[in-house]
Amino acid sequence: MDVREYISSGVLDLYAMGALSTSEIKEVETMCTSYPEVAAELRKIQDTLNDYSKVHSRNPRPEVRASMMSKITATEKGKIVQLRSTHELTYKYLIAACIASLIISTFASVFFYQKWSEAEDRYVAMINEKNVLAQNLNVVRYNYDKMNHDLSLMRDPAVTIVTLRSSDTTKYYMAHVMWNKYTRQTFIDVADLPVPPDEMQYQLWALVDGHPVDAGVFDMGTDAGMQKLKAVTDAEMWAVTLEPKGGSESPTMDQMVLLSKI
Amino acid sequence: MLFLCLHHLPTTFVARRIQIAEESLVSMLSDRNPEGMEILYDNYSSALYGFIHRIIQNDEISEDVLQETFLRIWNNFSKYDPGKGRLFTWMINVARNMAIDKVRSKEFTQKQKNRELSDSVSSLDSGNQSTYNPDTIGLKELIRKLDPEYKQIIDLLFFGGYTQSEAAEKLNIPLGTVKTRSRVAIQKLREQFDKTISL
Repeated sequence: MDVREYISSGVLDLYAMGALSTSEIKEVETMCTSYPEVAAELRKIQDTLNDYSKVHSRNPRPEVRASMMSKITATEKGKIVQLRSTHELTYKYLIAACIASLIISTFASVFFYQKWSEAEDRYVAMINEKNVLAQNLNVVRYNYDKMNHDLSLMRDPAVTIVTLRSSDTTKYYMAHVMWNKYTRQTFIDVADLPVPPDEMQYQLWALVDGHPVDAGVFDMGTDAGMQKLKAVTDAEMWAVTLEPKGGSESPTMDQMVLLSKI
Repeated sequence: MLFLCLHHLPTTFVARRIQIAEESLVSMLSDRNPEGMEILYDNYSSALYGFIHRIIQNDEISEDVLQETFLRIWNNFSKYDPGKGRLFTWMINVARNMAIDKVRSKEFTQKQKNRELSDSVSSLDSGNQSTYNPDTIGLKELIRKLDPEYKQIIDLLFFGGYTQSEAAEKLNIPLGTVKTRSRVAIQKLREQFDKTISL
């Protein structure tokens, strides 16, 4: 590329006067970056045109300056105000959101606290109820075991059940004696007997070969149930007397309470 | 003495002109400092206004275009690339585009028609209108001495916004001639300026 020829072609002059198409403009600009002489010449041409433009200088009315400056400061202020107001708006939204969530969480806290204490009360009540039930169950199980035991004793084929009644026919005192003929074990089950005075106890007697044999003392009580007494050999008859506490060696005959039939 | 300061033209008739390095002014405007805009206006408004007026030939519309030009310079300052040319060159291009757009707009041609009806005297002869600027009167005389065919090609391309092919058509000359004539026209202009400086 002959630079001098390119310069003298007039394309730079057309460029400086704005008479080229977009593609031609690009071409000139690439030439300027590759060839400093071209750029320098273009600068000279532009300076000439600048001077030529200045030849036509004339003053606009002074109002134009004020009007332009007010427009420029207005665009700047407008931007600043807009910026600040959008910031303020964002903060307002944030604060509103914070307050809203604070109120909501306060209400939620109260609500859940009430729910929680309600649940806590019910929980304590249920624990208590469970304990009561467990105690009841223990009592029932104890009674059940005892009754089962008593029942198994009575069902044993080796056991003989003898009913003892009041010797005084006007009274309906009653008890049953259960006696195992193999183990010789004796049990008494009181059905109806008056509560003995203090210092006194009922005593069971077995009549063996015409002689009364001590079969043990027993207590009265609602839950006494079947009470195990002393083992005795084969008895002909059974009797219960009221004796001083601890029992006697021989029965006090006028204190005879119950007697089995012969 | 009259033409001494042509390259910082014109310094005497505007009292408030501030001398500032172009780079400092460019950096002020890049920072969107309105003070930079005041300096820019004080230093260049008469040159730009004269240039715009040369195209539009109407005081009021030219002042409007001048304001629009400064606003565009302010808002699009990031588009100015100092590596590509002087600030004034870029400003002249902005002003030129805006003025030519205005001249070609419907609104303008409408106004122009009305204006031509009311007074058809003062149009087109730009020579009569630049009397406000005493510093350049002498120079104008010199330019008037420029061969009309060179003056014409610059008027069409630079102030008229004609493309080279439009100018070729208008002047009824080949495209190549538009190019070479442009080259010679600007060299002649430059000679005139060099002469006035060396005087």
